[in-house]
Amino acid sequence: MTDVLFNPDYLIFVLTSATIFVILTMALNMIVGFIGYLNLGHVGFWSIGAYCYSVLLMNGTPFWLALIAGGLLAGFSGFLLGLPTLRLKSHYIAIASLGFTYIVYSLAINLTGITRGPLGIPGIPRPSFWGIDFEDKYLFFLLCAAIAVVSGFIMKRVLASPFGKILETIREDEIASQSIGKNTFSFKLKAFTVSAFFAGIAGGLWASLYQFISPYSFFIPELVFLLAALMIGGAGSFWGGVVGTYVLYIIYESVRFMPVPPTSVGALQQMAFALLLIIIMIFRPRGIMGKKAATFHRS
Amino acid sequence: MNILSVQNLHKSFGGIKAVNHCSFSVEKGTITGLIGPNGAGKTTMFDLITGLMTPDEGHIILGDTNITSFPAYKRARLGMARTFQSIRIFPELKVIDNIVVAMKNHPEKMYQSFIPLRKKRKELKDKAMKLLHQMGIAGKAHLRAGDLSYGQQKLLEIARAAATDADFFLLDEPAAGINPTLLKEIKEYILKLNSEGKTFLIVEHNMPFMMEISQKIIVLDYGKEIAVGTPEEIQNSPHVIEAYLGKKKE
Repeated sequence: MTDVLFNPDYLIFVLTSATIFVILTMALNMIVGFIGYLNLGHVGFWSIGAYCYSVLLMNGTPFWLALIAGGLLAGFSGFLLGLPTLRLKSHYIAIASLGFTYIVYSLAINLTGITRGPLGIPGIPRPSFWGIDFEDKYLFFLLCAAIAVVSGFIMKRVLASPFGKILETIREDEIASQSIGKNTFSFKLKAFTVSAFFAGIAGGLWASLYQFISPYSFFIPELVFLLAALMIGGAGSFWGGVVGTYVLYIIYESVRFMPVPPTSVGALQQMAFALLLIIIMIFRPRGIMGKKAATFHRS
Repeated sequence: MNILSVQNLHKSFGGIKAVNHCSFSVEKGTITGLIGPNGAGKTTMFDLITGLMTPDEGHIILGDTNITSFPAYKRARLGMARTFQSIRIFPELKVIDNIVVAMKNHPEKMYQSFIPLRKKRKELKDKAMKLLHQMGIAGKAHLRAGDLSYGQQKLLEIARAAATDADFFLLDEPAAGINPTLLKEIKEYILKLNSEGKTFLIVEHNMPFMMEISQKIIVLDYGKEIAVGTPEEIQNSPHVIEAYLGKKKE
Protein backbone atom coordinates (compact mmCIF):
# COMPACT_ATOMS: atom_id res chain seq x y z
CA MET A 1 0.00 0.00 0.00
CA THR A 2 2.78 2.40 0.90
CA ASP A 3 4.37 2.05 -2.49
CA VAL A 4 1.11 3.32 -3.98
CA LEU A 5 1.04 6.18 -1.55
CA PHE A 6 4.54 7.24 -2.42
CA ASN A 7 4.11 6.64 -6.10
CA PRO A 8 5.18 9.99 -7.56
CA ASP A 9 3.22 9.47 -10.77
CA TYR A 10 0.01 9.17 -8.86
CA LEU A 11 0.71 11.97 -6.40
CA ILE A 12 1.76 14.48 -9.00
CA PHE A 13 -1.24 13.65 -11.15
CA VAL A 14 -3.67 14.26 -8.28
CA LEU A 15 -1.83 17.40 -7.27
CA THR A 16 -1.97 18.78 -10.81
CA SER A 17 -5.63 17.92 -11.09
CA ALA A 18 -6.38 19.68 -7.79
CA THR A 19 -4.35 22.71 -8.81
CA ILE A 20 -6.29 23.12 -12.03
CA PHE A 21 -9.50 22.64 -10.09
CA VAL A 22 -8.47 25.48 -7.80
CA ILE A 23 -8.68 27.90 -10.76
CA LEU A 24 -12.22 26.71 -11.27
CA THR A 25 -13.29 27.16 -7.65
CA MET A 26 -11.63 30.56 -7.39
CA ALA A 27 -13.56 31.69 -10.45
CA LEU A 28 -16.84 30.31 -9.14
CA ASN A 29 -16.22 32.02 -5.82
CA MET A 30 -16.41 35.37 -7.60
CA ILE A 31 -20.04 34.67 -8.40
CA VAL A 32 -21.24 32.48 -5.54
CA GLY A 33 -19.19 34.03 -2.77
CA PHE A 34 -18.98 37.67 -3.76
CA ILE A 35 -22.13 38.42 -5.75
CA GLY A 36 -24.06 35.76 -3.87
CA TYR A 37 -25.65 34.18 -6.91
CA LEU A 38 -25.83 30.41 -7.17
CA ASN A 39 -24.30 29.89 -10.58
CA LEU A 40 -24.87 26.34 -11.78
CA GLY A 41 -23.55 27.06 -15.24
CA HIS A 42 -19.91 27.02 -14.27
CA VAL A 43 -19.23 23.52 -15.60
CA GLY A 44 -20.65 24.73 -18.91
CA PHE A 45 -17.93 27.41 -19.16
CA TRP A 46 -15.36 24.83 -18.15
CA SER A 47 -16.57 22.49 -20.87
CA ILE A 48 -16.56 25.21 -23.54
CA GLY A 49 -12.99 26.14 -22.61
CA ALA A 50 -11.87 22.51 -22.72
CA TYR A 51 -13.47 21.76 -26.09
CA CYS A 52 -12.27 24.98 -27.70
CA TYR A 53 -8.73 24.36 -26.46
CA SER A 54 -8.66 20.72 -27.53
CA VAL A 55 -10.02 21.32 -31.01
CA LEU A 56 -7.66 24.22 -31.63
CA LEU A 57 -4.62 22.49 -30.16
CA MET A 58 -5.17 19.33 -32.16
CA ASN A 59 -5.44 21.37 -35.32
CA GLY A 60 -2.03 22.86 -34.80
CA THR A 61 -2.74 26.06 -32.88
CA PRO A 62 0.05 26.98 -30.45
CA PHE A 63 -0.66 26.20 -26.79
CA TRP A 64 -0.99 29.74 -25.45
CA LEU A 65 -3.25 30.81 -28.28
CA ALA A 66 -5.50 27.77 -27.82
CA LEU A 67 -5.63 28.26 -24.05
CA ILE A 68 -6.49 31.95 -24.28
CA ALA A 69 -9.00 31.28 -27.05
CA GLY A 70 -10.70 28.69 -24.83
CA GLY A 71 -10.85 31.25 -22.03
CA LEU A 72 -12.18 33.97 -24.31
CA LEU A 73 -14.86 31.75 -25.82
CA ALA A 74 -15.93 30.69 -22.33
CA GLY A 75 -15.88 34.32 -21.20
CA PHE A 76 -17.98 35.32 -24.16
CA SER A 77 -20.48 32.56 -23.40
CA GLY A 78 -20.57 33.86 -19.82
CA PHE A 79 -21.35 37.31 -21.16
CA LEU A 80 -24.12 35.91 -23.37
CA LEU A 81 -25.59 33.90 -20.51
CA GLY A 82 -25.39 36.90 -18.22
CA LEU A 83 -27.18 39.31 -20.54
CA PRO A 84 -30.65 37.83 -20.08
CA THR A 85 -30.24 35.99 -16.78
CA LEU A 86 -28.52 38.56 -14.56
CA ARG A 87 -31.68 40.63 -14.52
CA LEU A 88 -33.35 37.77 -12.66
CA LYS A 89 -33.44 37.34 -8.92
CA SER A 90 -30.94 34.94 -7.41
CA HIS A 91 -32.85 31.63 -7.32
CA TYR A 92 -34.05 32.08 -10.87
CA ILE A 93 -30.45 32.52 -11.89
CA ALA A 94 -29.68 29.11 -10.41
CA ILE A 95 -32.32 27.51 -12.63
CA ALA A 96 -31.38 29.47 -15.73
CA SER A 97 -27.68 28.70 -15.33
CA LEU A 98 -28.43 25.02 -14.76
CA GLY A 99 -30.24 25.16 -18.08
CA PHE A 100 -27.03 26.51 -19.59
CA THR A 101 -25.10 23.50 -18.26
CA TYR A 102 -27.61 21.20 -19.97
CA ILE A 103 -27.40 23.17 -23.21
CA VAL A 104 -23.62 22.89 -23.31
CA TYR A 105 -23.89 19.21 -22.46
CA SER A 106 -26.28 18.47 -25.30
CA LEU A 107 -24.27 20.58 -27.72
CA ALA A 108 -21.18 18.56 -26.79
CA ILE A 109 -23.10 15.36 -27.47
CA ASN A 110 -24.76 16.46 -30.67
CA LEU A 111 -22.22 18.66 -32.45
CA THR A 112 -20.46 15.50 -33.53
CA GLY A 113 -18.56 17.30 -36.28
CA ILE A 114 -16.57 19.27 -33.75
CA THR A 115 -16.79 17.35 -30.49
CA ARG A 116 -17.07 13.75 -31.74
CA GLY A 117 -20.18 13.54 -29.57
CA PRO A 118 -20.34 10.91 -26.84
CA LEU A 119 -17.08 9.35 -28.06
CA GLY A 120 -15.18 12.29 -26.69
CA ILE A 121 -11.84 13.61 -27.87
CA PRO A 122 -8.93 11.30 -27.02
CA GLY A 123 -5.24 11.91 -27.33
CA ILE A 124 -5.14 15.58 -26.42
CA PRO A 125 -1.43 16.34 -26.19
CA ARG A 126 0.42 18.04 -23.37
CA PRO A 127 1.77 21.36 -24.58
CA SER A 128 5.27 21.98 -25.76
CA PHE A 129 6.73 25.43 -26.33
CA TRP A 130 9.91 27.46 -25.95
CA GLY A 131 11.78 24.24 -26.45
CA ILE A 132 10.27 22.75 -23.30
CA ASP A 133 8.24 19.58 -23.58
CA PHE A 134 5.54 19.58 -20.92
CA GLU A 135 4.95 15.89 -21.51
CA ASP A 136 7.03 15.62 -18.35
CA LYS A 137 4.58 15.42 -15.46
CA TYR A 138 6.61 17.62 -13.13
CA LEU A 139 7.03 20.35 -15.70
CA PHE A 140 3.36 20.18 -16.57
CA PHE A 141 2.51 20.49 -12.90
CA LEU A 142 4.73 23.55 -12.64
CA LEU A 143 3.06 25.06 -15.69
CA CYS A 144 -0.41 24.51 -14.22
CA ALA A 145 0.69 25.82 -10.84
CA ALA A 146 2.14 28.95 -12.46
CA ILE A 147 -1.07 29.59 -14.39
CA ALA A 148 -3.12 28.97 -11.25
CA VAL A 149 -1.00 31.44 -9.29
CA VAL A 150 -1.28 34.11 -11.97
CA SER A 151 -5.04 33.55 -12.27
CA GLY A 152 -5.41 33.62 -8.51
CA PHE A 153 -3.37 36.81 -8.30
CA ILE A 154 -5.57 38.54 -10.88
CA MET A 155 -8.79 37.40 -9.23
CA LYS A 156 -7.60 38.34 -5.76
CA ARG A 157 -6.57 41.74 -7.00
CA VAL A 158 -9.99 42.29 -8.59
CA LEU A 159 -11.92 41.05 -5.57
CA ALA A 160 -9.91 43.08 -3.08
CA SER A 161 -10.32 46.25 -5.14
CA PRO A 162 -13.17 48.73 -4.91
CA PHE A 163 -14.72 46.82 -7.81
CA GLY A 164 -14.82 43.73 -5.61
CA LYS A 165 -16.35 45.72 -2.77
CA ILE A 166 -19.23 46.69 -5.04
CA LEU A 167 -19.73 43.01 -5.90
CA GLU A 168 -20.06 42.39 -2.16
CA THR A 169 -22.64 45.14 -1.78
CA ILE A 170 -24.70 43.29 -4.39
CA ARG A 171 -24.54 40.16 -2.25
CA GLU A 172 -25.43 42.10 0.87
CA ASP A 173 -28.28 44.15 -0.53
CA GLU A 174 -28.71 44.76 -4.21
CA ILE A 175 -31.45 47.37 -3.81
CA ALA A 176 -29.32 49.40 -1.42
CA SER A 177 -26.45 49.13 -3.87
CA GLN A 178 -28.62 50.58 -6.63
CA SER A 179 -29.86 53.28 -4.31
CA ILE A 180 -26.30 54.57 -3.93
CA GLY A 181 -25.94 54.80 -7.69
CA LYS A 182 -24.33 51.50 -8.65
CA ASN A 183 -25.30 49.95 -11.95
CA THR A 184 -25.40 46.50 -10.41
CA PHE A 185 -26.27 44.75 -13.66
CA SER A 186 -23.10 45.96 -15.31
CA PHE A 187 -20.98 44.88 -12.34
CA LYS A 188 -22.54 41.44 -12.34
CA LEU A 189 -22.05 41.04 -16.08
CA LYS A 190 -18.37 41.94 -15.88
CA ALA A 191 -17.78 39.56 -12.98
CA PHE A 192 -19.65 36.81 -14.80
CA THR A 193 -17.51 37.25 -17.90
CA VAL A 194 -14.24 37.19 -15.94
CA SER A 195 -15.33 34.18 -13.94
CA ALA A 196 -16.28 32.30 -17.12
CA PHE A 197 -12.95 33.24 -18.70
CA PHE A 198 -10.98 31.59 -15.91
CA ALA A 199 -13.26 28.54 -15.97
CA GLY A 200 -12.37 28.24 -19.66
CA ILE A 201 -8.65 28.45 -18.88
CA ALA A 202 -9.09 25.68 -16.32
CA GLY A 203 -10.90 23.67 -19.00
CA GLY A 204 -7.93 23.86 -21.36
CA LEU A 205 -5.44 22.69 -18.75
CA TRP A 206 -7.81 19.96 -17.62
CA ALA A 207 -8.05 18.62 -21.17
CA SER A 208 -4.27 18.47 -21.46
CA LEU A 209 -3.90 16.76 -18.09
CA TYR A 210 -6.45 14.01 -18.68
CA GLN A 211 -5.70 13.91 -22.41
CA PHE A 212 -9.30 12.95 -22.98
CA ILE A 213 -12.56 14.87 -22.71
CA SER A 214 -16.14 13.87 -23.36
CA PRO A 215 -19.49 15.47 -22.64
CA TYR A 216 -19.59 13.43 -19.43
CA SER A 217 -16.40 15.04 -18.13
CA PHE A 218 -18.23 18.27 -17.36
CA PHE A 219 -21.62 17.57 -15.94
CA ILE A 220 -23.68 17.39 -12.77
CA PRO A 221 -21.32 15.22 -10.64
CA GLU A 222 -18.47 17.64 -11.40
CA LEU A 223 -20.76 20.57 -10.65
CA VAL A 224 -21.66 19.08 -7.27
CA PHE A 225 -18.00 18.47 -6.51
CA LEU A 226 -17.21 22.05 -7.46
CA LEU A 227 -19.93 23.54 -5.28
CA ALA A 228 -19.00 21.25 -2.40
CA ALA A 229 -15.37 22.34 -2.58
CA LEU A 230 -16.45 25.94 -2.38
CA MET A 231 -18.89 25.35 0.48
CA ILE A 232 -16.31 23.38 2.45
CA GLY A 233 -13.66 26.02 1.96
CA GLY A 234 -15.97 28.93 2.53
CA ALA A 235 -17.63 30.94 -0.22
CA GLY A 236 -16.98 34.64 0.03
CA SER A 237 -13.46 34.26 1.37
CA PHE A 238 -10.83 34.31 -1.34
CA TRP A 239 -8.84 31.41 0.12
CA GLY A 240 -12.02 29.44 0.69
CA GLY A 241 -12.07 28.00 -2.81
CA VAL A 242 -8.39 27.07 -2.63
CA VAL A 243 -8.50 25.38 0.76
CA GLY A 244 -11.81 23.65 0.04
CA THR A 245 -10.53 22.13 -3.17
CA TYR A 246 -7.39 20.65 -1.62
CA VAL A 247 -9.27 19.38 1.45
CA LEU A 248 -11.88 17.70 -0.70
CA TYR A 249 -9.25 16.15 -2.96
CA ILE A 250 -7.34 14.80 0.01
CA ILE A 251 -10.47 13.23 1.52
CA TYR A 252 -11.52 11.90 -1.84
CA GLU A 253 -8.20 10.33 -2.68
CA SER A 254 -7.42 9.01 0.78
CA VAL A 255 -10.45 6.72 0.57
CA ARG A 256 -8.48 4.71 -1.99
CA PHE A 257 -6.09 3.61 0.74
CA MET A 258 -8.74 2.22 3.04
CA PRO A 259 -8.75 -1.56 3.36
CA VAL A 260 -11.80 -2.07 1.17
CA PRO A 261 -12.32 -3.96 -2.06
CA PRO A 262 -11.58 -1.79 -5.10
CA THR A 263 -15.17 -2.07 -6.28
CA SER A 264 -16.51 -0.15 -3.30
CA VAL A 265 -14.01 2.71 -3.50
CA GLY A 266 -16.28 4.81 -5.69
CA ALA A 267 -19.23 4.47 -3.36
CA LEU A 268 -17.08 5.17 -0.31
CA GLN A 269 -15.68 8.29 -1.95
CA GLN A 270 -19.20 9.58 -2.43
CA MET A 271 -20.01 8.80 1.18
CA ALA A 272 -16.87 10.41 2.57
CA PHE A 273 -17.59 13.48 0.55
CA ALA A 274 -21.19 13.71 1.76
CA LEU A 275 -20.10 13.12 5.34
CA LEU A 276 -17.50 15.87 5.13
CA LEU A 277 -20.07 18.26 3.74
CA ILE A 278 -22.49 17.49 6.57
CA ILE A 279 -19.81 17.90 9.24
CA ILE A 280 -18.72 21.22 7.79
CA MET A 281 -22.28 22.47 7.54
CA ILE A 282 -22.89 21.64 11.19
CA PHE A 283 -19.68 22.95 12.73
CA ARG A 284 -18.58 25.65 10.34
CA PRO A 285 -21.58 26.59 8.23
CA ARG A 286 -19.60 29.28 6.47
CA GLY A 287 -16.82 26.90 5.50
CA ILE A 288 -13.29 26.41 6.80
CA MET A 289 -12.07 29.85 5.74
CA GLY A 290 -15.44 31.56 6.09
CA LYS A 291 -15.79 34.44 8.46
CA LYS A 292 -16.97 33.14 11.77
CA ALA A 293 -20.46 34.32 12.53
CA ALA A 294 -20.36 37.03 15.15
CA THR A 295 -21.41 35.64 18.48
CA PHE A 296 -20.93 38.68 20.67
CA HIS A 297 -20.89 42.43 20.33
CA ARG A 298 -17.72 44.31 20.89
CA SER A 299 -18.13 47.87 22.00
CA MET B 1 -37.30 76.51 -7.49
CA ASN B 2 -38.52 72.94 -7.29
CA ILE B 3 -36.00 70.16 -6.94
CA LEU B 4 -38.66 67.50 -7.32
CA SER B 5 -42.05 67.58 -8.79
CA VAL B 6 -44.42 64.68 -8.93
CA GLN B 7 -47.10 65.08 -11.55
CA ASN B 8 -50.30 63.08 -11.59
CA LEU B 9 -48.46 59.98 -10.38
CA HIS B 10 -50.44 56.77 -10.25
CA LYS B 11 -49.63 53.24 -9.13
CA SER B 12 -52.05 50.46 -8.39
CA PHE B 13 -51.54 46.91 -7.22
CA GLY B 14 -54.48 44.97 -8.57
CA GLY B 15 -57.49 46.89 -7.34
CA ILE B 16 -55.63 48.86 -4.70
CA LYS B 17 -54.61 52.33 -5.73
CA ALA B 18 -51.50 52.77 -3.61
CA VAL B 19 -50.75 56.12 -5.20
CA ASN B 20 -53.74 57.73 -6.79
CA HIS B 21 -53.07 60.51 -9.31
CA CYS B 22 -50.96 62.36 -6.82
CA SER B 23 -49.12 65.62 -7.49
CA PHE B 24 -46.86 67.70 -5.30
CA SER B 25 -43.53 69.41 -5.41
CA VAL B 26 -40.55 69.87 -3.14
CA GLU B 27 -38.70 73.17 -3.12
CA LYS B 28 -34.94 73.25 -3.25
CA GLY B 29 -33.25 73.75 0.10
CA THR B 30 -36.27 72.92 2.22
CA ILE B 31 -37.20 70.16 4.61
CA THR B 32 -40.52 68.77 3.54
CA GLY B 33 -42.47 66.23 5.51
CA LEU B 34 -44.64 63.55 3.97
CA ILE B 35 -47.15 62.20 6.44
CA GLY B 36 -50.29 60.16 6.36
CA PRO B 37 -51.98 57.26 8.12
CA ASN B 38 -50.61 53.74 7.69
CA GLY B 39 -51.16 52.48 4.17
CA ALA B 40 -51.50 55.97 2.75
CA GLY B 41 -48.89 55.19 0.08
CA LYS B 42 -45.89 57.02 1.50
CA THR B 43 -43.35 54.26 1.02
CA THR B 44 -44.78 53.42 -2.39
CA MET B 45 -44.32 57.06 -3.26
CA PHE B 46 -40.67 56.84 -2.19
CA ASP B 47 -40.18 53.69 -4.22
CA LEU B 48 -41.67 55.41 -7.25
CA ILE B 49 -39.54 58.50 -6.83
CA THR B 50 -36.31 56.55 -6.36
CA GLY B 51 -37.04 54.11 -9.15
CA LEU B 52 -37.58 50.85 -7.31
CA MET B 53 -41.05 50.74 -8.86
CA THR B 54 -42.33 52.11 -12.12
CA PRO B 55 -45.50 54.19 -12.05
CA ASP B 56 -48.56 53.30 -14.13
CA GLU B 57 -49.10 56.94 -15.03
CA GLY B 58 -47.63 60.33 -14.37
CA HIS B 59 -44.25 61.98 -14.37
CA ILE B 60 -41.43 62.55 -11.92
CA ILE B 61 -39.23 65.57 -12.58
CA LEU B 62 -35.95 65.98 -10.76
CA GLY B 63 -34.49 69.46 -11.25
CA ASP B 64 -35.34 69.84 -14.90
CA THR B 65 -34.91 66.22 -15.94
CA ASN B 66 -37.84 63.93 -16.45
CA ILE B 67 -36.62 60.82 -14.65
CA THR B 68 -39.81 58.75 -14.89
CA SER B 69 -38.17 56.05 -17.01
CA PHE B 70 -34.73 56.12 -15.37
CA PRO B 71 -33.50 53.07 -13.45
CA ALA B 72 -32.79 53.50 -9.74
CA TYR B 73 -29.01 53.79 -10.04
CA LYS B 74 -29.25 56.58 -12.63
CA ARG B 75 -31.57 58.57 -10.43
CA ALA B 76 -29.17 58.16 -7.54
CA ARG B 77 -26.36 59.47 -9.72
CA LEU B 78 -28.41 62.58 -10.44
CA GLY B 79 -28.06 63.46 -6.78
CA MET B 80 -30.83 61.62 -5.01
CA ALA B 81 -30.15 59.47 -1.96
CA ARG B 82 -32.52 57.59 0.26
CA THR B 83 -32.79 55.57 3.41
CA PHE B 84 -35.22 52.73 3.93
CA GLN B 85 -37.99 52.03 6.37
CA SER B 86 -36.46 48.62 7.11
CA ILE B 87 -32.73 49.30 7.32
CA ARG B 88 -30.71 48.30 4.28
CA ILE B 89 -27.03 48.49 5.09
CA PHE B 90 -24.35 46.03 3.94
CA PRO B 91 -24.10 43.96 7.14
CA GLU B 92 -21.05 41.85 6.24
CA LEU B 93 -18.96 44.84 5.22
CA LYS B 94 -17.10 46.96 7.72
CA VAL B 95 -18.83 50.11 8.88
CA ILE B 96 -16.30 52.27 7.10
CA ASP B 97 -16.62 50.30 3.86
CA ASN B 98 -20.35 50.89 3.95
CA ILE B 99 -19.53 54.58 3.59
CA VAL B 100 -16.59 54.29 1.20
CA VAL B 101 -18.51 52.31 -1.43
CA ALA B 102 -21.15 55.02 -1.56
CA MET B 103 -18.75 57.83 -2.39
CA LYS B 104 -19.01 59.53 -5.70
CA ASN B 105 -15.45 59.15 -6.96
CA HIS B 106 -15.01 55.60 -5.67
CA PRO B 107 -12.52 53.96 -8.09
CA GLU B 108 -14.75 51.02 -8.86
CA LYS B 109 -13.94 50.34 -12.52
CA MET B 110 -12.51 46.89 -13.06
CA TYR B 111 -9.30 48.10 -14.72
CA GLN B 112 -8.67 50.25 -11.66
CA SER B 113 -8.02 47.04 -9.74
CA PHE B 114 -4.66 46.89 -11.50
CA ILE B 115 -3.39 50.39 -10.97
CA PRO B 116 -2.05 51.60 -7.64
CA LEU B 117 -4.66 53.69 -5.87
CA ARG B 118 -3.34 53.72 -2.37
CA LYS B 119 -3.45 57.50 -2.10
CA LYS B 120 -6.94 57.80 -3.49
CA ARG B 121 -8.28 55.02 -1.29
CA LYS B 122 -6.68 56.62 1.74
CA GLU B 123 -8.32 59.90 0.83
CA LEU B 124 -11.74 58.27 0.60
CA LYS B 125 -11.16 56.48 3.90
CA ASP B 126 -10.28 59.75 5.63
CA LYS B 127 -13.37 61.38 4.20
CA ALA B 128 -15.48 58.45 5.39
CA MET B 129 -13.94 58.65 8.85
CA LYS B 130 -14.83 62.31 9.02
CA LEU B 131 -18.41 61.49 8.19
CA LEU B 132 -18.50 58.76 10.84
CA HIS B 133 -17.11 61.23 13.36
CA GLN B 134 -19.96 63.59 12.61
CA MET B 135 -22.41 60.77 13.20
CA GLY B 136 -20.63 59.75 16.38
CA ILE B 137 -19.90 56.18 15.29
CA ALA B 138 -16.24 56.62 14.33
CA GLY B 139 -15.24 54.28 17.16
CA LYS B 140 -17.03 51.45 15.41
CA ALA B 141 -15.54 52.07 11.98
CA HIS B 142 -13.86 48.67 11.76
CA LEU B 143 -16.67 46.54 13.07
CA ARG B 144 -19.02 44.53 10.88
CA ALA B 145 -21.89 46.87 10.09
CA GLY B 146 -24.32 44.12 11.05
CA ASP B 147 -22.95 44.18 14.59
CA LEU B 148 -24.05 47.75 15.22
CA SER B 149 -27.14 48.42 17.28
CA TYR B 150 -30.37 49.29 15.51
CA GLY B 151 -29.98 53.00 16.16
CA GLN B 152 -26.40 53.05 14.97
CA GLN B 153 -27.35 51.17 11.81
CA LYS B 154 -29.90 53.86 11.20
CA LEU B 155 -27.22 56.53 11.61
CA LEU B 156 -24.95 54.57 9.29
CA GLU B 157 -27.63 54.45 6.64
CA ILE B 158 -28.06 58.21 6.81
CA ALA B 159 -24.29 58.68 6.70
CA ARG B 160 -24.13 56.44 3.63
CA ALA B 161 -26.76 58.54 1.93
CA ALA B 162 -24.77 61.66 2.79
CA ALA B 163 -21.60 60.06 1.42
CA THR B 164 -23.09 59.92 -2.07
CA ASP B 165 -22.88 63.70 -2.12
CA ALA B 166 -26.53 63.94 -3.03
CA ASP B 167 -28.44 67.22 -3.00
CA PHE B 168 -31.75 65.61 -2.31
CA PHE B 169 -32.41 63.16 0.49
CA LEU B 170 -35.43 60.97 0.96
CA LEU B 171 -35.57 59.59 4.49
CA ASP B 172 -38.09 56.87 5.20
CA GLU B 173 -38.93 56.94 8.91
CA PRO B 174 -35.58 58.13 10.27
CA ALA B 175 -37.00 58.38 13.79
CA ALA B 176 -38.66 54.97 14.08
CA GLY B 177 -37.26 52.92 16.95
CA ILE B 178 -34.73 55.57 17.91
CA ASN B 179 -34.22 56.81 21.45
CA PRO B 180 -34.67 60.55 22.16
CA THR B 181 -30.93 61.29 22.47
CA LEU B 182 -30.13 59.66 19.17
CA LEU B 183 -33.12 61.30 17.60
CA LYS B 184 -31.77 64.67 18.64
CA GLU B 185 -28.49 63.82 16.92
CA ILE B 186 -30.27 62.81 13.76
CA LYS B 187 -32.28 65.99 13.85
CA GLU B 188 -29.19 68.14 14.27
CA TYR B 189 -27.49 66.33 11.43
CA ILE B 190 -30.44 66.89 9.14
CA LEU B 191 -30.55 70.57 10.05
CA LYS B 192 -26.81 70.88 9.47
CA LEU B 193 -27.03 69.36 5.99
CA ASN B 194 -30.06 71.52 5.32
CA SER B 195 -28.11 74.63 6.24
CA GLU B 196 -25.55 73.55 3.63
CA GLY B 197 -28.30 73.73 1.03
CA LYS B 198 -29.46 70.11 0.93
CA THR B 199 -33.10 69.29 0.40
CA PHE B 200 -35.01 66.72 2.43
CA LEU B 201 -38.20 64.82 1.95
CA ILE B 202 -39.01 62.89 5.11
CA VAL B 203 -41.63 60.27 5.85
CA GLU B 204 -42.23 59.94 9.57
CA HIS B 205 -44.93 59.07 12.09
CA ASN B 206 -43.34 60.93 14.96
CA MET B 207 -45.43 64.11 14.80
CA PRO B 208 -43.55 66.32 17.29
CA PHE B 209 -40.37 65.56 15.32
CA MET B 210 -42.05 66.34 12.02
CA MET B 211 -43.70 69.53 13.22
CA GLU B 212 -40.39 70.78 14.55
CA ILE B 213 -38.20 69.97 11.62
CA SER B 214 -40.37 70.49 8.55
CA GLN B 215 -40.93 73.75 6.78
CA LYS B 216 -43.70 72.29 4.69
CA ILE B 217 -45.82 69.20 5.18
CA ILE B 218 -47.66 67.15 2.59
CA VAL B 219 -50.39 64.85 3.83
CA LEU B 220 -51.23 61.72 1.87
CA ASP B 221 -54.34 59.66 2.33
CA TYR B 222 -55.43 56.78 0.12
CA GLY B 223 -52.59 57.64 -2.23
CA LYS B 224 -53.71 61.21 -2.78
CA GLU B 225 -52.38 64.47 -1.41
CA ILE B 226 -55.12 65.88 0.81
CA ALA B 227 -53.35 68.85 2.31
CA VAL B 228 -50.17 70.85 1.83
CA GLY B 229 -48.96 73.60 4.13
CA THR B 230 -46.86 74.72 7.04
CA PRO B 231 -46.94 72.56 10.18
CA GLU B 232 -49.43 74.96 11.82
CA GLU B 233 -51.78 74.87 8.88
CA ILE B 234 -51.63 71.10 8.78
CA GLN B 235 -52.34 70.76 12.49
CA ASN B 236 -55.49 72.79 12.08
CA SER B 237 -56.65 71.35 8.78
CA PRO B 238 -60.01 69.59 9.13
CA HIS B 239 -59.09 67.24 6.26
CA VAL B 240 -56.06 66.00 8.08
CA ILE B 241 -57.83 65.52 11.36
CA GLU B 242 -60.47 63.60 9.50
CA ALA B 243 -57.92 61.35 7.80
CA TYR B 244 -56.21 60.49 11.06
CA LEU B 245 -59.10 60.43 13.50
CA GLY B 246 -62.22 60.01 11.39
CA LYS B 247 -65.17 62.31 10.97
CA LYS B 248 -67.08 63.79 13.90
CA LYS B 249 -70.63 62.58 14.18
CA GLU B 250 -73.04 65.40 13.51
